[in-house]
Parts: sequence; C-alpha cells; structure tokens
Amino acid sequence: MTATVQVLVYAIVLLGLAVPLGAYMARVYQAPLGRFERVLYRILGVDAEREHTGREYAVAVLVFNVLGIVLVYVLQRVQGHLPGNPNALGAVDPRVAFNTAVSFGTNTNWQAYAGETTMSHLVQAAALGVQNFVSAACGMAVLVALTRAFVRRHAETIGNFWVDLTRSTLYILLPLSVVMAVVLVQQGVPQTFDGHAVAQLVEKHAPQTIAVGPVASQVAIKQLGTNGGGFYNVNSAHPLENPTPLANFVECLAILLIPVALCFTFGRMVRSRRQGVALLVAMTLLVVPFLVLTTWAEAHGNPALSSLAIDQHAGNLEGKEVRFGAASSALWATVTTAASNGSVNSMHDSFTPLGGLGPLVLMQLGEVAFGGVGSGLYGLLIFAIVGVFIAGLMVGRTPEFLGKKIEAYEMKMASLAILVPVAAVLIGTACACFVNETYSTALANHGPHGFTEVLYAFSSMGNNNGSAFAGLTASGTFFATVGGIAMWVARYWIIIPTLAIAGSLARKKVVPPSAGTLPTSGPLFVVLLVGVVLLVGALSFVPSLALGPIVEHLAVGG
Amino acid sequence: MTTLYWIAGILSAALLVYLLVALFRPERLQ
Repeated sequence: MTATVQVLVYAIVLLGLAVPLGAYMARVYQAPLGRFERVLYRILGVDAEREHTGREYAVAVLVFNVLGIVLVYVLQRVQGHLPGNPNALGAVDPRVAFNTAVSFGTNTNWQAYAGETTMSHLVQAAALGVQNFVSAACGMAVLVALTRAFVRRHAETIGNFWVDLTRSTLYILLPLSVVMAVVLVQQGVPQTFDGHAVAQLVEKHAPQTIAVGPVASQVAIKQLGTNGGGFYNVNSAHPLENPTPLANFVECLAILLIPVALCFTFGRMVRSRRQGVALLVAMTLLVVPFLVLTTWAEAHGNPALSSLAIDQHAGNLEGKEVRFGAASSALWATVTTAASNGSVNSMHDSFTPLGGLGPLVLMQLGEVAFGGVGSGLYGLLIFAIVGVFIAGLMVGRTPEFLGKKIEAYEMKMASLAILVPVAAVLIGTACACFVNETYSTALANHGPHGFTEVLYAFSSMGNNNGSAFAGLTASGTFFATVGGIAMWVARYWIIIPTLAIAGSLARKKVVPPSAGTLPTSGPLFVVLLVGVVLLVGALSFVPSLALGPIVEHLAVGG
Repeated sequence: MTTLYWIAGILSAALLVYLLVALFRPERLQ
C-alpha cells in the first residue's frame, strides 16, 4: 500500500511539473534570438543566424564532444598541479581517466573511481560538472534537430547546434539546477570548496574524516541531466548526497522531469500534442511492468531466506538505506535505469534476482523509456520509424511518420542506431567472459550472479546509463578501456545516424494523410511501438538474461 | 582474445566509416 501511494504521488507531481516545463522548453527552442544571446554568440564567434545541415550539425556535435572529452582527461591527469585541490589528490590513473572522460562526455557517468578520494574539487566542478551540463544539452539539441526535421518541408537545415546547446544549458538546465541545488543545501547536502572535515569522536579512536565539497551543485545537475555520476562513491545512498526522504523524493523526481517534459515539448513543436502524449504513454507502458516487478520482488524479501527465522516484513533490505526502505529503493532503481540516469540510492547487486532483472532489462531496451534527456526520446523516435515501416509491411499501410515518408535510407540508419547498443552490450559482455581480469580482480561473485554483474556493467555502459550493480570492480585495464569504447560507440554511433535521418527527413515534403496512413497518435500505434521495443529487446537479450538473473532466481528457490 | 579485440575493433571502425558515408553521401545509400 505504501509503495502504491508513493508511486502515485510521484507520478502526479511529476506530471504536474512536466506539462508546464514541456511548454516552456518548446518556447525556448522556437524563440527568435534575443539581445543577450546575440551578444553572447558574437563574443564566442558563433554565426547564430546560419543554420546547420544534418552533416554540419553532426560534425559540430562530434567536434564539441571530442574536445570536451580530451579536456576532462587532461584535467584529471594534471589535477595534482591545479588549484581547487584541498585534499592534495594526485593524478588520476590514465585508464580510469580515459573511462571517466568518455563516461561524462557521453552522458553515461559510469564511475570506475571513488569520487571523494579520487577527484579534486576543481575536477568535480570544472570537468565533471561542466560535462554534466553540456552532455545533457547535446542530447537535447540532437532531439530538437530531429524534431525540426519532422516539421520542415524541403529544408536543407535542421537548426544551429551552438544555439540549441546554449539554450538547453542556459535557459533550461542551469536555472533548474540552481533551484534544485538550493533545495538540497537546505536539506543538508554540503556545498563548499573546503577540504575534508575532521570530527573528533567521543570515543578515543582516531578522528573521523568526513568528505565534503561542491556536492549539492553536482547532485542537482546529475539528476536533472540524467547523468547520474555522484560526488561520493556510493552515489545517492550516501547520507550527505541524499540526506532526507524529501531530498530523496526531489532527486528521484528530477531524474524523470526533463525526459517526460520533452514529450510535451515534442508534441508542441510538431504541432500535435496528441503525438507527444502517445510517445509518453508508450514510454510509461514500457516502464510500469518492470516497476511493478521490482517493487513486488523487493517487497517480498529474499526467497533464499524465507525458510529461516528472519523477519522480512519490510522487504529485502540488504544493500538498502533503511531510511528509504524497499519501496523507495525499488522506485529509484526503476526510474534511474529507465531514464539512463544511473545514480543509485541502494546497491542493485543486493536486489533479489527478479528485482535486479527489472533495472537490467530497462537498460537493455535501449534507454528509450524514458531514456536520457533528449537521447531517450530520439531513441524512441528511431523505434517509431521502424514501427511504422513494420506496420507498412504487415498491414499494408504507407510507411510515414508525421507526414514524412520512411524510405530505405531512414530504415538503414534506424536499424543501425537500434543495433549498435545491442552489439556494444553483447560483444562487451562476451569479451569480459574471456578475460582473466574479470575472474581475478573484478567480480565479487561467481556463477549466475557474477555473470549478471558483467552483463549489467556492459548493459549500463553500452546504453549510456551509468548505474553499477555494485559488485564489480571496474577500474582494471579491461573494464576501464573496453567499457570506455562501449560508451563512446553507444553514444556517437547513434547520434550520427539520428542526425543523418534528420537531414534526410528535413529535405522531404510533408505528405497529407490518406486512407493508407497509420495514425501515429492513437492506441494502435502505441501498442505497435511498445511491441517493437519489447521484441527487439527480447530477441537480443533473453538468452543472456536466462544465464544470469533468471537462473539465479530459480537457484535461490524463487 | 586478441582476435576478438581485433574483430570488434575492425567492425566498429567499419561501421563508423559506413555511417560517415551515409551522413556525407546519402545518395550512395538510397
């Protein structure tokens, strides 16, 4: 009952905030250039009046991201010589620095390091914090470019990347982050550039060192930008990163706020609000069954302990913060994996096999429900393109979406965009199973649970989620380098075909609806879209899931 | 294992080339 009430309150507040935010974002992206912006672009040397073609847009995204990743890598490597390092931390290991740079540049925020003992305050704020903003803004920019492509007719351009990036950062992410950071500070999250605090204990033990730093600002954008990379090693399970039930609620809300709001933004920009709602309904239908599964599994405790005299009325509490309980932890686990966020307030490694299956599958579905900010919705639109094409083959409908004909070129690009993360996950997992490092230093468990730890790691990195199962040490050579490559491929090998599709669609005329047109804002389309996403996910991952959480569930007597 | 690395590396590089061709020369794929 408590779990149901929590989820309902969460959904109502989320929807209440997302509708106006969606309308606001649509206005931001469609507004003419303001005076402040003109001055800013003039200073930065950006010709904001000149729009980009699909390929120019893609080149701008790639160049900007590569430079950002290089900068993050360099800052980590030289942090010992830079200011803003009150705890005198040395250079980050090159493998971990590479993994972290790619991770934050790709909006994955997988963490192969312990934040409070590895990164200086300057690196946390100027490298990781900045990437939290701009990587999220990149995803939003790509979505907006694709959205324009559906609306424009015979157009060569899909917008200006630098303008979309700037507006996403300055007018959406930054104001929301400031408000949220203030709320978090009020709740007790630290925000300081001082070094570790030292507390003298009553007992005559050594004094306790308490890690503090610019935490609130980092946490605010890590949730809003679906980044997920925490200041502390245990992420939002840490009492200073997520101190109260209210802070927990606000952070959990922030994870889905922008992805949900972008559905309304999309509806407004394509002048079909029903279309935006249809996509939101499809996302919700994809997530709810796994939310129910995870919540149910965690509420019923560990089946392996059911024959022992252990009180499990509060559910499976291993690896969970007692102040949050099983329901809040299950809700967070579902939300953070559905949204490509990756922050955690409990250790997913300690979930029951079926409880852990839900978050795992949500990542494997391609992070399209609700996915990352921007990336989730453009991912779902890619599936929608495949969906209308399949509908065309199955029931003789014209393959078109929002009046744009879907042809061989779009299908080739969409198919690749869908298969790239699948390949990254499965090839990465397969390689990991051959490497000694996996068995000697990385895994905390062996057998089916150990396999799930590896599968989870690559499902997370290969879909730009970033959450960790917690039982895997990922700072070794294999996981740091191959994981970094998987994150890189999963992000940019999808952005390129997405922008190729955008460029192609923008050039097309809009076909008026006919008797052969499949309405894409009705229930039939929603069912079709959900079916395509589930089918691709099932065909790709059921065998690997059978080797991991499913066999573990059977083994523990579930 | 090294062979597996090479196969994965060559496949991902080939895919990138294909995607860039698709982006810059879309007429070749239509």
